Amino acid sequence: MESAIYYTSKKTFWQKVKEQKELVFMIFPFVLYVILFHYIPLWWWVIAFKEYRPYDGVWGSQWVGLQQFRDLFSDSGFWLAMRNTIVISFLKLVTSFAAAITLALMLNEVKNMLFKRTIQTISYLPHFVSWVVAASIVIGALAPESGVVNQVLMALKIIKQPVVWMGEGHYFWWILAISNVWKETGWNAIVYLAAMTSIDPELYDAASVDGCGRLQKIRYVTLPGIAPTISMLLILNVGWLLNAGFEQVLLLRNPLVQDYAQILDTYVLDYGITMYRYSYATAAGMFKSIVSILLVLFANKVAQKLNASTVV
Amino acid sequence: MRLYKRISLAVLVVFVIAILLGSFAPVKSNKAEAASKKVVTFTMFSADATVQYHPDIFSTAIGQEIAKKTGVRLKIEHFVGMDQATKVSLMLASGDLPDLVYGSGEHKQFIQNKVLVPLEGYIQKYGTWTKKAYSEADLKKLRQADGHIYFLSYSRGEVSPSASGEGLWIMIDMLKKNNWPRLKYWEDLVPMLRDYVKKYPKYKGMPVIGMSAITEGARFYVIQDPATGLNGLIADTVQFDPKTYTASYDPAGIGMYKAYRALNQLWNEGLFDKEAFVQTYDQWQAKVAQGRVVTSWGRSWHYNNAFNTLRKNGEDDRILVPFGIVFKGVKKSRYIMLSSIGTRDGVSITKKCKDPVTAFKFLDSLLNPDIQKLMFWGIKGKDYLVDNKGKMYRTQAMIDKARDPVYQKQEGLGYWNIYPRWQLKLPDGNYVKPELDPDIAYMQWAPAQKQVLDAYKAKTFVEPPFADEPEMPKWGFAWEINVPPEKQKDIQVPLNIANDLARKYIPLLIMAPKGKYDEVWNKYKAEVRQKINAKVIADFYTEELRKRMEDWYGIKIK
Repeated sequence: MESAIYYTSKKTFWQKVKEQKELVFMIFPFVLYVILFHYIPLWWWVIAFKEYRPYDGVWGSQWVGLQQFRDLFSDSGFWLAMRNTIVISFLKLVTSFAAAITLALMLNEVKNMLFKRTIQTISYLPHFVSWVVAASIVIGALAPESGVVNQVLMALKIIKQPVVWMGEGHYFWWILAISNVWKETGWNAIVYLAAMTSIDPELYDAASVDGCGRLQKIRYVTLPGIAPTISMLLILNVGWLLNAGFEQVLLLRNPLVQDYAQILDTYVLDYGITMYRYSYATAAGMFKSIVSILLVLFANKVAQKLNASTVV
Repeated sequence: MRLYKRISLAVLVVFVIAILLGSFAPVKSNKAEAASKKVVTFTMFSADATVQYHPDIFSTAIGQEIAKKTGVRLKIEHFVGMDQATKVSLMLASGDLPDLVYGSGEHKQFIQNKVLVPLEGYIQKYGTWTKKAYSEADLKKLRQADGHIYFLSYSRGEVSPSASGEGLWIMIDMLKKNNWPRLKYWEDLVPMLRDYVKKYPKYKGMPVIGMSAITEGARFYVIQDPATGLNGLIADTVQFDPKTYTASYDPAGIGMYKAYRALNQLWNEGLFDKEAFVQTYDQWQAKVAQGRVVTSWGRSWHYNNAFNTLRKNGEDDRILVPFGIVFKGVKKSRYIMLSSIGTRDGVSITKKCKDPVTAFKFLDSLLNPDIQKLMFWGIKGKDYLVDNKGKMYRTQAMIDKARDPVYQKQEGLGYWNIYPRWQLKLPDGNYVKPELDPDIAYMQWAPAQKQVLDAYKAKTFVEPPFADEPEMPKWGFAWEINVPPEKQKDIQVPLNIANDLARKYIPLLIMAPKGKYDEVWNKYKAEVRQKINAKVIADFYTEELRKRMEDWYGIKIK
């Protein structure tokens, strides 16, 4: 602390820049990227308060005040999309966290390296497959007649008749969650595995000496060891809570499950962009961004509180 | 260290040279090529999804010939995917437009956003061929709400004798086994279907499906066809009464109740495809191609791939043929309707085009009969022959070759549908397209299809008993009317909501358990009545259609 104050008081900003010009040079493209693609587009939010038409231009279009928001909030379809978004992303958040941590814990216990690597590779392969392909795999697997899921369940005598999995709204939420787990668990587990390698092996030895079994070691050493990683990822993910997975839903939905599948992003597409209502779409997107920011701030506060209590 | 520096310098020099060569060399050769032939290149966007697109149509035999004759080459970007509206919407918002554009179902958006060049001045000045191929009445109909002409329509309201028809599609095998019955009424079809599926429950070990339909994504309109088709109405946004000149709009009309109750009964008997509402378009196509779909809802172009597969496998008696099936009591089926001229879309020139005059001259020169023959018939001697009377014809071998997708792609045949063309015949008396020639039309069918035609003593699938005489609504179609932006919220948004409700309830209606149909129907009706003001929509279309009658024919209705 002391040295930092001393340091800044001695050198001016520009001197510092000159001294660290390589670093500045390296960061430059990324700052530019953020400005170009994240800050400048914010300017376009202005069209949420207008009735934007491309040929009139942004300034030529008529101001309508909060009309777009009024339309938005008075549309029952929007609130339905809101409900689905929250439920779907909450389901996905919980299942993907639980699955990734479980997989990482299990892999960490495997001592045969060849087996461990094989499992890891297989489990993260689906991450590299695009949702376009993944969705047709999911739809194919769940098909009533030819799908493998129904065939297996029938062979095991769990069900008597093929189930139309993709035809029921409340199944659809779980299909989204489970297919997301299938696709992303392996990939998400990597970061926890990395966190586990940084746990001091002596802790395990100490735990053994204290008479801990395998499960107890996981409970008292591994889990606390990766706790900071978990909480950080959780905070980061809360910011995405209103992103329920646009591509996945778009590709998997069908008319039967429309009431459960309409999320904010598809709502913006269906009732905004494809109907040429750019302003309406922007208003919906803006609302989503603002709620997301609030969620992150809230999650951060909670995490601070929790951290404070654990420190003391 | 010095050596290291030298090596890196050498590497750098090599890189720079490579980059310079890489970026400049091809441009130079392109320029040289263009200069020698004086071929201008225009960029174009096409949203035509009815044909498999060609990566570079102007590199094919036909394309090269056309480029040579017109002095223009098109660099075409094709629409891929399912949702034209999204693509066009984003294209307009970005302002990044090509020289020429064809927007298909979304073409109106280019007009409404005022990015197109009006053509009527050019037609007057340079439209030598246009004035011959399009009559004054045609051009009148092509005038948009703002009084300008933006495109020359390709759709010209002919009934093509080679069209595979429209209606409810029925498998040839069932017709054969029932001794070629004359089918017209739903009530006669259902018992036949029931018996057939009972008698032949499996085909090649797979279950036979009584009735299927396409429901995926933008193709959902197919499952809306029963509501209009079975009741003898036209598949349009509104129904127009020619006596009172008023439009009526009712997304939960009585005809719908009857149609889906009929399908619901099939469902409860296990005759309707259990996967109908969860299957993709591809899955549906596969089932038809496996020859196990006895009847299906779909439009003619949806079947092409599946029928080709069946034909290739020698299972052409599993192909489906269309019948204009209606409920008993309905006088006329209206699955096939004609438009005198398509007023919705065509190739347009955008304001981004730096040389609209050349672009228009290109479109005009496509109407030159020599080029029309190239576009639709192909290359003389190779794709068609001419007899001593000057009549163009094709041999059976040529017809078969023209059906082969590989040959089509290499020759460039069958990719020119969206461009302006003559109606039915060229000035020399030859048909514009080979498909319009009745002789060629008959020759192109598979043996089983020919057998069907012979059995019913018909020449085509667009005449009785397959279809009633096609009509031409004088006022055109309501779905071709562009809703102006300021009416978007009152007309287009409710229409979309109605469509979403249909998407939700049609499956529920069809799948309703025994005795529950009315309950679902009442829910649907209540929701439609609550969410949609049908009168506003009907009034809008009444006004628009009356305006058309006035603009097109001078008939004023009060």
